[in-house]
Amino acid sequence: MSVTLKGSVRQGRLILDIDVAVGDEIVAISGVNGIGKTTFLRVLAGLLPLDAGILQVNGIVLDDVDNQIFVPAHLRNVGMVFQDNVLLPFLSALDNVAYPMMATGIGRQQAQQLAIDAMGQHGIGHLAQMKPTQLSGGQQQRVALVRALISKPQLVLLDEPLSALDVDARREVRSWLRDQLKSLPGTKFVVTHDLVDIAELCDREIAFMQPQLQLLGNETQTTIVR
Amino acid sequence: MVVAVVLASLLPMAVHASSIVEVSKLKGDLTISAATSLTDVFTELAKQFRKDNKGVKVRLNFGSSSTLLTQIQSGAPSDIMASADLTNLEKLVASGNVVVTPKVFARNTMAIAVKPGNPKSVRSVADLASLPFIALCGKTVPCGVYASSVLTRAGVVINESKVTRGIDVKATLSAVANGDADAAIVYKTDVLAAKKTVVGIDIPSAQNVKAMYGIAPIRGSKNPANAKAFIDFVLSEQGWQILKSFGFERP
Amino acid sequence: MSTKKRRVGAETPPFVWVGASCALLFLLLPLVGLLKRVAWSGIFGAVTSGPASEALRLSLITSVVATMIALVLGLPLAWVLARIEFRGRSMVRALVMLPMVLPPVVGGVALLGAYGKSNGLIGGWLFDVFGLQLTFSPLGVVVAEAFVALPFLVMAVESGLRSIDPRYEESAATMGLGPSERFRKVTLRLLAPSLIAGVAVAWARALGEFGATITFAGNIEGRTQTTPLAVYLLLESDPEAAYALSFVLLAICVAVLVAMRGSWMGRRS
Repeated sequence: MSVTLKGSVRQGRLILDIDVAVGDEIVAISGVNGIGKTTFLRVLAGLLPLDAGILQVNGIVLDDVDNQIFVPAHLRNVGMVFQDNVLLPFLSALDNVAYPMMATGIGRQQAQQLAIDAMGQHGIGHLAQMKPTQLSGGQQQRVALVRALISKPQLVLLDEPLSALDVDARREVRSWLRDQLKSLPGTKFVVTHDLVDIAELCDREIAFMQPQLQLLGNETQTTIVR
Repeated sequence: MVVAVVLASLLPMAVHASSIVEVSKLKGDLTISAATSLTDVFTELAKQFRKDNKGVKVRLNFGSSSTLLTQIQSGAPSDIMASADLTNLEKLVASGNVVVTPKVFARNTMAIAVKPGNPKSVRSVADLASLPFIALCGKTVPCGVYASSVLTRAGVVINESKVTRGIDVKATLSAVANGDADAAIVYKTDVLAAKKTVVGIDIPSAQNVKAMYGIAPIRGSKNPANAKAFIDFVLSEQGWQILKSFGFERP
Repeated sequence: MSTKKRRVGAETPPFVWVGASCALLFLLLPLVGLLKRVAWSGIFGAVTSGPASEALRLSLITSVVATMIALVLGLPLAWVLARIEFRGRSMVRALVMLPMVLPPVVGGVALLGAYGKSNGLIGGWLFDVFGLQLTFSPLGVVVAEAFVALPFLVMAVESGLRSIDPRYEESAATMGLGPSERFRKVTLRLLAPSLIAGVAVAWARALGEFGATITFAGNIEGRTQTTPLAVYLLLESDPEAAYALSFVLLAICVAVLVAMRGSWMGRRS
């Protein structure tokens, strides 16, 4: 199994109880808003430590509460696309894409070359020198996607990756994304509401649900059923 | 029997008192611009003046005489100027803000102020030259001009880089009382007034100067009658007694 | 008769125009009044000689040093206040803002209480052990100026830090940047506009400082007589020089404001 996560985490009023074991597959994460899908991704990314339990990716323990092990985000090999993209506003699109590679030690020139190749392959090479504020939402999303995948991370986390695209672009990017994800080893999680995304992109779906609503308390509890 | 004697002796005083007090018909405002070194004495003079002239509201405005000069020349609504020197009053005459001859109402001399206990053992003006920092009033403020005269007469030269200049007398004194200046040359009256926080060293009259304090009404004031009454009061015997009690000398 | 269609909200109520014009007039009239008083022909001479030029030189040097101190001390403090939750944080923040609301002379008295050679908490010790006397020294001027300028810098930087979307830093973390790398390459870059604004405000405050300086550092020509003090004294003895000096100070401030025009309060001008 590539990813096993059994534990719980609390974020404000939300308590997330997880028991998941997934292989090398593209997994869709669905559920209503506010139920904890993004929180789940943040735990996997290392942005949020577990309050109890264990997370292992490819046999390496990334988070183990009992043994006080926690690998922070920058040391996990993760490619993530946030909701609202979050490209660095003071870098050009090209530099944004090149950044993760430079962080792993690849020289600037080489990183930029790889970046421009990847962007060209995906049809957004012409956006290279533009700043994120000059790009439309859809363009930003495509840049963010290229950035997340270019360093071939062992864990891919995509939060609503196609939501800002119009129908045509969506179709185009979806098929590009499917090819990219299928050719990547490792587990890929995709948070999405879109049924077509789930059907075409993903091998399996995990639905986040509330077992019962607690009307008296102020807490939401989510249990994930495998 | 004793009661009768006491009552009898009180009677003439009661009659005497009632014949002195005339009910003052003056009313309105009175704004007095006075040098900072006059703060305590003029506050007392104003208090006494108010007792006899209950209808007059007195406002006191203290500052260095040169600051007050600028204020009045710029049109500040003052009725009287009481200055620590005659020079500033002469400037007011020259600029037309004063049209009567200023009257000298008191004299003052300078003294050295040091920290309590005189830790640096200052005995004379000459000793000031060996101190790390002393405080003097600004060069164009009357107190500063007098201090310069004292230094000249004593033949003492002090490097400007060891002198902190106060905006007025109180600020200068404060540099010794609260700050790190070891000595200051200020008016003797100020040293007396601050006897809890500084100790005074006399300056011999050969080196000392006589500061002449002048007073005059301002032209165009809205309360000339009140101004005249106050000036008369300051120049009167009663006024002089108050000035004397604060350490001023006869004009 | 034609009626123009206007978008709701595009009309500005008259009282807003009136209020804004009055405000502008209120601010500009004194500046114009000052300009009118400057004797332009002699200005260069008045400012480059004697006490005036000493005061300018002293002011420029001390205000820059004071601002640098405010930056070095203020940046970490702002970080702690913005990012670290601890009990009593709002109390600490209120204390940090204190020099900003304190009357400057009171600030000077407080500084004397701490660093005065005769009566200060540690002033005597500083003098005995290091031979250091802050009062009546240019270093004392720097201390007084830094004291009043620091809160301004902390305030600007703290608010800047709070307004940074934490996801930028998180995104950088998922891209492999460690904590100090993230701080240098991402946080500081995003903070730049607030940082610049904070530095400018702090510097302006340091430059114009009067009450604390004159009370704590005294008024010694060439050593602690900064430009505001010099102007105050010159007003009586040499008004021409006072106006000239005031104008130079004004011109410097205007130059800095213009240079910063893009960075005030964020990126928009």
